[in-house]
Amino acid sequence: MKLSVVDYWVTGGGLDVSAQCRNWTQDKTGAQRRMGNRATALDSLGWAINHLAAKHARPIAGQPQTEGHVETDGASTLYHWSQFYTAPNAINRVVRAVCLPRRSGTGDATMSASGGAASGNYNTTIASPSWPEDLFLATMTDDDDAPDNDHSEETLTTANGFTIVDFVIQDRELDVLDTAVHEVARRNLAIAGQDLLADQFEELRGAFHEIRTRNMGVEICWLAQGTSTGWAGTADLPAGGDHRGIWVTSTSYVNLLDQAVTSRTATSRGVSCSGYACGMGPNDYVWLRCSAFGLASAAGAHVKFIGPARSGANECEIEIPTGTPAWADVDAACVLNTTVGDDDTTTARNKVDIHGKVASEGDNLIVYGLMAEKFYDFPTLPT
Amino acid sequence: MAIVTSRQYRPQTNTTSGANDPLSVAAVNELAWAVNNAKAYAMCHKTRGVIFFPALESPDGGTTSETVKMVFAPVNVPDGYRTFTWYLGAERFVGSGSAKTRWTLYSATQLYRGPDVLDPLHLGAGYQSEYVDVAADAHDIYMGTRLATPFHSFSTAPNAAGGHRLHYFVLTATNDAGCQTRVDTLDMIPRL
Repeated sequence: MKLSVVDYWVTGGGLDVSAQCRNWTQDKTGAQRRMGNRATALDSLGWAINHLAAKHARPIAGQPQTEGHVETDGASTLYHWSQFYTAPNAINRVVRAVCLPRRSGTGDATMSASGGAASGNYNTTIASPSWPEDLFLATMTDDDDAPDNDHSEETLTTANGFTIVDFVIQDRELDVLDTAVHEVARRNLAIAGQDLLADQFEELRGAFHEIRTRNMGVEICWLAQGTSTGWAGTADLPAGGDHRGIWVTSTSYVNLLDQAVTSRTATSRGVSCSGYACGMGPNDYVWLRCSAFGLASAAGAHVKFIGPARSGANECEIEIPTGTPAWADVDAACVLNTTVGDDDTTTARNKVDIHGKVASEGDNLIVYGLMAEKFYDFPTLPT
Repeated sequence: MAIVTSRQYRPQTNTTSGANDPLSVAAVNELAWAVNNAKAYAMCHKTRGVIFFPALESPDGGTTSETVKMVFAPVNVPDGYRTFTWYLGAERFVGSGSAKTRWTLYSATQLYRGPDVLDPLHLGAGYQSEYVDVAADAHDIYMGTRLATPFHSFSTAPNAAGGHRLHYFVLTATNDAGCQTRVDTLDMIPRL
């Protein structure tokens, strides 16, 4: 069965069932009477839950490049990202890219994703394109994966001079939910004038639980830009690295965005996250599952995500593999503080700094990607 | 039934019991609170979380005009959100005293395809902007005034025709004379 999704949050002004389910009311004599739920309360809940299920498309990954750093030749792996495809309805995605015309080249200028998606051909060639007058928008849909509740990786490829300034891959917003495919809250469970029963409500609650605990946002994303000859190595990068990779040689932790910085402070370089009131029940935290893509010359190189100051430790340390570049994560996480408001400016603010180090003098660590997304149900808090 | 921060979603088990049991008012209210919390806070997926590495620098050579530094790929923002909380990680590396760079973030209805000295005509109807002034050598995280979406004043349903509303963002820099700053992070979170 297919259900259209209404613009509930726009036209309805939010969800208010207070007039539709009341414990007590006073009659005209002043006596209090026991009341109950109306069917419209469950109907409203269904509309609202389905709106969340269909319309809250998560931006998954993206990366802008500053002028002079855009790859103009094309790269078999321009970007490589990783995520947990846990969102119940994230079956279809869309890639949107702001591009410049290619400067030279023959053949069809295209972008494509490892899942099989491919753009049209953008073969207009301008030797010296003007920034930003000559920008154009290219899109492609990426429908390869069913949500598998597992770790998944994907790459973006450009060919024959296709030049991307910035791209975003995002879950696709849905206008219609299909009960055979999507996580859906069935709305027609309650009928006016008939009893409202617990098992009818349980379907709504279960659908909301799936959506609320699995459709969680990506908070951190930085992706190195691949080149036409592959990932940059130590011979290609300046000290400290550039847009092609962050190069670390320090044996003690340094901030990846400024290696002169060695500790997290309220104002140090880091990513501001959305954590306020995002927890579960009485919890004052929400998990942030972190992962890093890199290559170490020797074992023992680590990337560390450092979350907001709290009473206990709040770090997630990830060992970077040797041999070939690979995404790495650990069964641990740092947390965001759900009691801290958006405007907090102390060390407790929901900002995550990212540090890196190698094990020994002479070792090298190159980081090609950093990602973190909110997550539900990690077993323990950081210690 | 105002949206309140004290009502985070509480995973429930056996709250409502089995078939043919009565449904409590409390259970329905609790779920409504949780849905509102999700919309207002927990499912406000970050619109963009950008790390610039190397950092994005304001124009050099004494340029003081408002210069387009980044035109971002558009993002679909779910219905109902009318503003963005946004943060800029930045520092000054040329200049002293009160010399500043004004970094301005625009939300627009179309892709900016104008000159590199900003021409707002190319932002389309209804564009909005807010700024932060960066005038300190030490790195800091600047929080801008909430940025309205270009659709914030629309009273009709945005998706009535089935078209999805894409939001386009542009970041510009305006130096004081003798000043240059750089940005390393930009984070945008939708808010109701």
